[in-house]
Amino acid sequence: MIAEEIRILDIDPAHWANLIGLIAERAVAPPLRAPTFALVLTRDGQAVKAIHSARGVVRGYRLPASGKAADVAKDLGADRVAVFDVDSFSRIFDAGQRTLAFGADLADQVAAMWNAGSAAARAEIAWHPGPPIDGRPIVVPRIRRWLARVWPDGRTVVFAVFDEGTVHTSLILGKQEGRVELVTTLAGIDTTGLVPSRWRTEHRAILARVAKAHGRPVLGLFLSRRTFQEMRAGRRPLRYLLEAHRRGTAVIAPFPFRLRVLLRLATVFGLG
Amino acid sequence: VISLDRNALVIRGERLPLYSGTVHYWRLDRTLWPRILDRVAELGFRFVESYIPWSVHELRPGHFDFGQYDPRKDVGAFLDLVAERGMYFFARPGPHINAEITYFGYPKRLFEDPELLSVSATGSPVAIPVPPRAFPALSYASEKFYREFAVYLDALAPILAGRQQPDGPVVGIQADNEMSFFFRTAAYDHDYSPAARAQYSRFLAAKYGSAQGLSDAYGRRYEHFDQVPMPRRFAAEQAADLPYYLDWMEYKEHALLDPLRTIATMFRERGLTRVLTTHNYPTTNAHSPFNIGETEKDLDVVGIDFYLRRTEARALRDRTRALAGRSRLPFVPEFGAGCFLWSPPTTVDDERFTVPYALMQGVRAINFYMIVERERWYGSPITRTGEPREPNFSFFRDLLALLNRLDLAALPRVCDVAVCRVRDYDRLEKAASLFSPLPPLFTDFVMSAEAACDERALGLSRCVQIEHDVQGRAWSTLLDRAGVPFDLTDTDVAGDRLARYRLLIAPTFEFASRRAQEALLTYAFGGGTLVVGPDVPERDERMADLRVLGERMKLPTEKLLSSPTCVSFDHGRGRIVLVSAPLPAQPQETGHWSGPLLARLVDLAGARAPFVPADQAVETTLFADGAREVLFVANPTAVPRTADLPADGAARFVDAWTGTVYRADDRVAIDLPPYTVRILEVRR
Repeated sequence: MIAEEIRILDIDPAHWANLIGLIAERAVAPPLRAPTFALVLTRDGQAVKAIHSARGVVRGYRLPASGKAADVAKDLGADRVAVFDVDSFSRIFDAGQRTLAFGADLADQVAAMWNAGSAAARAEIAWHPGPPIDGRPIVVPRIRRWLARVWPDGRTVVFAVFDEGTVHTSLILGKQEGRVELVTTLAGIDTTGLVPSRWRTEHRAILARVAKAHGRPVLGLFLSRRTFQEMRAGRRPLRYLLEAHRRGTAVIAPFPFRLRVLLRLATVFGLG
Repeated sequence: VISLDRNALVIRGERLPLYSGTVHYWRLDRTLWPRILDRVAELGFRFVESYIPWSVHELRPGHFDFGQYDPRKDVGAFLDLVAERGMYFFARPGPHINAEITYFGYPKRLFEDPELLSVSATGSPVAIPVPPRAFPALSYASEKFYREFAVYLDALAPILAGRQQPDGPVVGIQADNEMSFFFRTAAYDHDYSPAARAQYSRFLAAKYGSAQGLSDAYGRRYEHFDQVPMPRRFAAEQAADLPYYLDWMEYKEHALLDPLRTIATMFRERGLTRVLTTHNYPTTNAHSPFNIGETEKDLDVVGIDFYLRRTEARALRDRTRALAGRSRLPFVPEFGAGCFLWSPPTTVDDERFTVPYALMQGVRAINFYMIVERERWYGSPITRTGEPREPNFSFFRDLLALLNRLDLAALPRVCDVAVCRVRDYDRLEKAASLFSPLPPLFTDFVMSAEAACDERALGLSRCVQIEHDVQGRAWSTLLDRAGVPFDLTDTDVAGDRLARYRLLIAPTFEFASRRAQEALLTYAFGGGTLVVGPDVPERDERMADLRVLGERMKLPTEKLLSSPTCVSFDHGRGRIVLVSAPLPAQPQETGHWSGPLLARLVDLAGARAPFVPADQAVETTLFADGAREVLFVANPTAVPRTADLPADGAARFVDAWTGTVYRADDRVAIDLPPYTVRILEVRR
């Protein structure tokens, strides 16, 4: 899904930093006390290294008689523990690396490595209370088929968030031969005369200029920073987005019928 | 034609501090080259540098485009434009490029040849999962790889060789890029290919001469060097097992250095003889397998790249100290100006702090990467159409003007102390890591040796792989608390560079190679104050009896402390001080013997510590040559601070950026917003 010679051009530094900030910032308040974590490495069933996130290295640590992760957690006073053999790293790396298909799409490469590596990790690592990620494999073909349905080649996707009369962040993606081949921002188009504070109407001009520079948009998503943050903070972000679109605090335009149906279905089935 | 003088290049008699910027000609519109280079000159740069990527210029094996087909690939024309503007050029023809190019600038066909590929310890390919395509690591042990590269170099070298100084702008050439086994330097990760196997055997043969010599060292019978298995995990049980692993890490250092030596030789064989040869290690603390001291025997200058943000000030400080304490010219061949897309953003606010902060820690030369933006990069001071990007453009223009006005490169930095790692211990630390194949280039940011290493003492009196690091950190903490400027170095660094320090603190344990022991002795003999301990080495790295240091430490001339025993021995024009007890991992602020001992050592050595701030979180560095003094004052924290400094006889301090004058009585107070470095001219 990513072109071998992807064009990443004219990235506005502030837009990119703000985009990462939007994605990375916590949607919900952090817990009052950060959970503690302990890592215990073993060799031949004996602990050879114990590291506690709050206490640091616990030199000379010995496993409890049961050797169970739950007892290690209790013993070390950690909310979460991972216990595994020192050679596990090599075996997990090995499992992931053996899947490397040179020249394949990065999405397929990474998914294959991840799926094999995480399966090996599940076999190698004893967690308490349980692994932090579920074991469901990433199925790239399914994502690819879905993407092909809603995003034809040669068309662009436009995303922009506005804040206090400025463009807080923007992202324009282009696609060719089934793969994302362009990543840029509004810095890559002529923005002369555009007034960001009037984004609810100006989005049409933005879409027209993106069309001229990079290809006709298939989807445009324009919203205020506050709306974006509220959407992320809620438990049903897709439903919130559709509601914001209905109320006019977000603009989705163009909004392809097929995508509209998919999103509606997703919200009906509680997927967002 | 080109020489080094006071941290600058001397070209045709003109002394030029090395401040440089990266311009990737092939990624820019050919018609914009003149305009873009004018902009670079407008910023004040006299040097530009660029990769010259193999994959970009190769049309098919043996056929290349240097502008015949695509005008953007006319590197010769680009160099001529550089020369027309009175600028100079550093060439980086790889073969490793990275530069966010798909497949790192290697022709794609190389990855389809199994003879050219690296192999992991478990026999798998070595995946480098970098966007936009993961690829298998190549083997730099493969001789075929160099034969392939030679074909490219044969085509490129005439373009560069004909434009060397004094006939053209080319003044430097870099051998490869960020040599680090593709950022994977863990002891038991890769390369286990047949070519690497042969290289390992050759290394052992060169070191031991005969299988008998090796068998004696390893305590096992080997008829031939090929019989020695390549270690795939740390399985030592006793001290006698250690030579095998120490040799392995020495081999890993050799495997990093040998390609650079080979590539530099290839340059010279093709007429590139009137240029500086350089290399850039990735962002590293310069511990094994990186070995700047050894590499600078074959290359003129070896630097370290920095892509660190202001919030990573501590890592920047430690890594800069490691560079300053090792390199002939502490040079950052890639100092992030802007950022690649798949990294957390670096902003001009970061650069406002990190550039002067690196300079105050000892960086003397910088190439800003990228000074001109290009695809897969953002946030440079010049856009890819040659437009200035503000405020970045003004920052770099003002910075260069300031550095040139102050001639900072010519001013000696007051730094009389270094904490020295004995390289044998460094190797043991890396060999004894329990986290291989996780890359130390990343884990070193979050893990000390205590966290990473096997905790067993292995028949030694202490767990050397951990304790040497603990001791180095403890001495560093003490020095920081006392406000004593210091560098970080190791025993493989050339003696003339160690001799710059008046006080060298080298934690030692019960073994150390002859080379390391002699390096320390030579330092002390030349007039330095050498601090060793808690143990005096009695064995070499093969665990055979060897008391080079101990032989010179028999009749103490002065007792510095009674408990723990701390005595001084005269040696040549200097002295050796034995501190017979280890420092606690976290030395107490007050009431512990280590604080007064350090003060005594600093005094004994005559090490200077000017303008020590009252607030330990504030840092100062003085540059002075008797006629001029420039003081850097830094707040590397996220909260505002005031630097309360002794005036040390100065009447006022003038902020070289803003012109603000700070008048002093006995002391001076300087306000420091979060992440700020003030550059102050000291007036007496």
